Amino acid sequence: MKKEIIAVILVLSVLLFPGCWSRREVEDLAIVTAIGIDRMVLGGQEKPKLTVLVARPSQLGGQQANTSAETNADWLVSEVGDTLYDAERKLYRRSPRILRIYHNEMVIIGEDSARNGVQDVFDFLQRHKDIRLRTWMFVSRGDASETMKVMPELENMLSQEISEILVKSMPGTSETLAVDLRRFSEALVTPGWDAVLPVIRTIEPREPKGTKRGEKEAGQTIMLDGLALFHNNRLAGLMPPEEVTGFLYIIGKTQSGTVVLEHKTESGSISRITVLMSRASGEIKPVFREGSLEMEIKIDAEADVVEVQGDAAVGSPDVIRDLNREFSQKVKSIAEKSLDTAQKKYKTDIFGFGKTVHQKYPDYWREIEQEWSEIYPEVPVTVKVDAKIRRTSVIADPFQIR
Amino acid sequence: MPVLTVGDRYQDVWIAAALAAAMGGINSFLLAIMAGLYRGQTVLGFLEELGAGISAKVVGVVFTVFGVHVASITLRDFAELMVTYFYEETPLIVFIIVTALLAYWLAYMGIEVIVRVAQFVFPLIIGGIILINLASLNFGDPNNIFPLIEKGAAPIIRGGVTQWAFFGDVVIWFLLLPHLNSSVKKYTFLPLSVLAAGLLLVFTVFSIIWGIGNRVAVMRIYPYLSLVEEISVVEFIERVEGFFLLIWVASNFLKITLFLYAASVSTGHLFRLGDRRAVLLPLTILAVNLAVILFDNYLQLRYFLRPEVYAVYMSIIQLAIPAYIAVLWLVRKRRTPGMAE
Amino acid sequence: MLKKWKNIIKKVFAKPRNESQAIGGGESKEPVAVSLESNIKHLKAVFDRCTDVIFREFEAAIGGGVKTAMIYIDGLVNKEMLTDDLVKALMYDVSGINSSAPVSDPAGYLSRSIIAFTEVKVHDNMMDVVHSLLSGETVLFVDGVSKAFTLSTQDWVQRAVTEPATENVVRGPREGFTENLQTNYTLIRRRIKSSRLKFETMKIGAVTKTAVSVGYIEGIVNNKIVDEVKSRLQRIDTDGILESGYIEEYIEDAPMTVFPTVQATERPDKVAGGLLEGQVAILVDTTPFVLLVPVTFPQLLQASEDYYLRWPFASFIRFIRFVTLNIALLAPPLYIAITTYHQEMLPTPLLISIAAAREGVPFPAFVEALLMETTFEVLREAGVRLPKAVGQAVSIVGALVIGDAAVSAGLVSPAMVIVVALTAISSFSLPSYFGAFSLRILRFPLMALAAALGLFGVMAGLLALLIHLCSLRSFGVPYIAPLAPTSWRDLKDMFFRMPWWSMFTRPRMTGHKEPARQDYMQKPRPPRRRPGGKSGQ
Repeated sequence: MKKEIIAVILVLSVLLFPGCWSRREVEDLAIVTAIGIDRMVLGGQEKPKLTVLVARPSQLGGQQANTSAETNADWLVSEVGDTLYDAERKLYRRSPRILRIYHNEMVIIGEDSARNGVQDVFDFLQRHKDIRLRTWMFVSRGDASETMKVMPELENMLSQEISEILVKSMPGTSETLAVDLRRFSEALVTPGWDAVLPVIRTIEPREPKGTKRGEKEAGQTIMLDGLALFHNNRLAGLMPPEEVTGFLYIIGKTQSGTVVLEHKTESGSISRITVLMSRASGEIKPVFREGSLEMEIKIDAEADVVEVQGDAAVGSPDVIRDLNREFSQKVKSIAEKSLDTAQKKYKTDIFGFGKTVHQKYPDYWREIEQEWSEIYPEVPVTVKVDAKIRRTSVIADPFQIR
Repeated sequence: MPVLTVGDRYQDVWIAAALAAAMGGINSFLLAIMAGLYRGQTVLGFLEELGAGISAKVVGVVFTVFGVHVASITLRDFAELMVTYFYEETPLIVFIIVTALLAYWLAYMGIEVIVRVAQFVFPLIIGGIILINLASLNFGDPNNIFPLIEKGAAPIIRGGVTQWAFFGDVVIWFLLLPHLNSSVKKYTFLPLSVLAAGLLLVFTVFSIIWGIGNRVAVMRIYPYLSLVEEISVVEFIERVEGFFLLIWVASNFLKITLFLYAASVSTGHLFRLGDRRAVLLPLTILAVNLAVILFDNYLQLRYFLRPEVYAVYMSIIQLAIPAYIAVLWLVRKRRTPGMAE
Repeated sequence: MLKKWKNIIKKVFAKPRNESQAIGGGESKEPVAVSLESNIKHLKAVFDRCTDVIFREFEAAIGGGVKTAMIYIDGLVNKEMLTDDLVKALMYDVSGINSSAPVSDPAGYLSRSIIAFTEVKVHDNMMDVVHSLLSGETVLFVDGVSKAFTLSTQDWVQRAVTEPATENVVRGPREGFTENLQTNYTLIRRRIKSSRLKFETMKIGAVTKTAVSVGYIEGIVNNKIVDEVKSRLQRIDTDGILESGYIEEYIEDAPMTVFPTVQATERPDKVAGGLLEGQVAILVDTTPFVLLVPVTFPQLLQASEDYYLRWPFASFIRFIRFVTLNIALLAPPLYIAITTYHQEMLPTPLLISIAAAREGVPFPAFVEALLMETTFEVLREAGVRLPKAVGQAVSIVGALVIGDAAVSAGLVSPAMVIVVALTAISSFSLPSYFGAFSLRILRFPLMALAAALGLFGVMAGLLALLIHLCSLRSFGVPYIAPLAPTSWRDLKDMFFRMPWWSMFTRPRMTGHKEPARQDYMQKPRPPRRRPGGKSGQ
């Protein structure tokens, strides 16, 4: 018993006297919410530039929050270093609080940096213990540091605004794909699979900005605009939002969003019928036809009619049957369009065709693995779509106003 | 769990884990049968009964060294994770000393208290791991496990042997079995527990491959921790690495305790000490020192845990010694019939 | 070195105390004298300067006016009873027997025919007389008889049976033990009407002579435990026992731990339940707190009400209690660990609001927590000590000044106030006041560990706690049974409270002598229809 007490005292003294090495009080932290990575030439030498957004707690939470002040809710600071980690530490020079990036929500890679290859960026992101695999990844049109200057509209912090757009709103359009670091890494390191990242860009909105923003950024706002397609570790090209829907159909990741069908009614007029995608699945199947590799893509889609412009009698099953056919064709055409962009134009295997071949025919894959990037653009792809309209929302036939 | 930090990784690693579990199960079944022969003695006492006094000493020394060595490796491995992931600025030695002190205390209290603590902690550890694994199944891609057996049987066997080496820990039950209640079913309990641990391992490895894919896992030193990072249940239960830390502390602590205890039993027997607890503190201090000085850097430790080194090392303890005892016993049995009863 | 000191201490302090020495003279075995005067003189010498001892001499009507004396201690006896049944009977000879006739055996005659008391003892030894007198009996000397009669006239002012102050229930009996041993016997006996319920009494305390009684149910209890309890009680050699807490400290298994290995309760139903599960009760005169041994840690978390509420509610309450146990012990340490070491574990908005709230707080989180916890403990202690009328004022001061003002002054962060308040409420929800004590104390070292090493420190502390708990025993029973060693059978009454009809057995650790509590197949079920069709005829 005596020994126990001595042991306890010993342990406590060992712990308490030398001090608490890793202790950091919350108020001594600079909580990084977004990271931007750019590349710039400085004195003839190419150097990475790290931009971070740091939350200002006093402007955000708690009862003492003082939102009426002129200061923004987040602090934008960037620094150039020899390497990215070096740049991160250089930021310490300007930060009174210790930068902690374990709460970082997103990494925005500048377009220039992405086009130049993400190998070094990738090592930084993977090796850094505070950067989590759940971090959202973006490519920015133009420099990331410029994009990050935009002031958020509804949320307090830009990072919140972007991630909410990405996660909460964009599924309602099926025009972009949320990619986190894990998925990005998987695609980068898996042979026969190329990565995509959502593109983020600033626009000048037509509406007047309703907030008292700093003069410089006035009028700018943020939007997500399609996908950036990578080939190996370089940005190969951009895919516009309309085509992204086709890509999402192929990999079975559509969630919601509209497709407008043009339906020719019996009276000969054209009705524009908007359908809202509800459920869809896509399957990529490598097959051998006459000894050569082909990809078969099978898409099952479902949708509801949400708007009819014109006099199409969508209340009748016959019309719906026609609509099903037109809907299938439409899906097929947008899928093929995105296939065309990725496969033919940029030659990047964002669908993971190679991966499916690997999984299905590992022996064959071993033969062709080296030449895959040459084979891929030439692989014939057939798209089969089975699309159905399930319901017509709360009314059937369109109202006729007389 | 250290098995997840080393060795080759490919999508079939869970098959290797299953193989390792099966091998470990068979292995431990043999050990249990042999332990049944001892009739309430430790392996050392049994060797002496067989008349092999000198080899009893040798085996005793081997077990002592082995116990302290594995305890120190575990201490180091555990502390390295702490420093890498959770406490950058804290010296490594703090974690080693605190954990070793706790393990010393528990080993000092004896096998009864060890078992009770284990009874309390094990459900928490296993429950925690299963929860993490289940939570990780809702992301990731089940196709990650394909293609099965891509590179033939060789890497699977290699991986299986690597992982089997970690089940080699069961050999210390040679020293502990006699202390257990005789009502425990000696023949089934050890293999069953190894198989259960193996199943858990298979499930865990499977979750890693499923959850983050073997190609990301292969880059990571602590793939399981990366899996834990990814967990998000209803966007609220996120960032649960802290709980993983708790599981990690508890399981390593138990392992270190068992090895220290086994080493002290072995030493106590070696020097015919009335009270094995007398040597416990020196052994603990030795383990702490070894943990610090054995490896210059973490990469050396990782290299040591590679199959070429660790599996060979473990085979000596795990196969050679039991085999030697079995041969000895068979020889003696032939010479003096009726002894086996 | 240590031995030497021990010897010195022994020589200086260890004086064998003997009550007979205190009384004066070696008269311990002095017989009762024939002469009344000498007896009275003797007693007057013994009770010198004891103003509350009353000597009353008178002449009895029997035997033609025998000199008689009655001695009692004022306040310990029922005076009306004495006047009516003793003095009157002797003076007026109400029995109507020929009073002038000589009596051959005056002592027997008196006790058989005259003294109308239910309990009369005859002593011939002055020592016993003194002891009887002190325990409230009345002593009667008759001149010419070398015997002393002691009459059980005890009646002193005592508290009525009231609701226990520490363990309140919504459903269940409202009776609590009192300070009177006899009443406490009654309260238990009324619940267990069995001849197997035994009480063995002994007197402990050289000066106080406190009656201590060991109660158990023969056949259920493990005899070894009873013998152990008795031998530990007999080992006690002290001058006074004023409360069962004295006994508790003398007999507990682990004197250096913060965990109670003896359970103290005010509830007779709890004691009865414990006895039925094979526990041993130790009743001490002059205190309403009865001790129950052996006790396990899980038992400290159980309230007697758990067994009166329907089982789903009881199980739910147990679950809540389990949560509050963890909060009471771990909330402040975890708060410290997470906010100072593992900020990555918090959701981002929460971290930002905590950071915002802490902006301007001058103390580190650990000091802040220590400050608030200490304040709370002070308030709590003050609340117990203060007169009831002032209690309200203190709670207002505590709640408003400490809580609100400290926050608005920026001394502590609101988050910390929430954590401390949560901890406080949680620790109140634990049924055993004495079990909750240990958690209150342990919170502080855990907070220190959390401040030193974060979650690792907390975990190390918890593991140390676990090792300690696992190594504890209470009268041979492992302290955290049935968790470890695991007894699946007993887990029915651990995290859940299974229905009564499913708990067939007593706890393995204490009730293994007669394991079956009840018959199987007692689950209520609808009456079976007779083959004839309608029920009844």
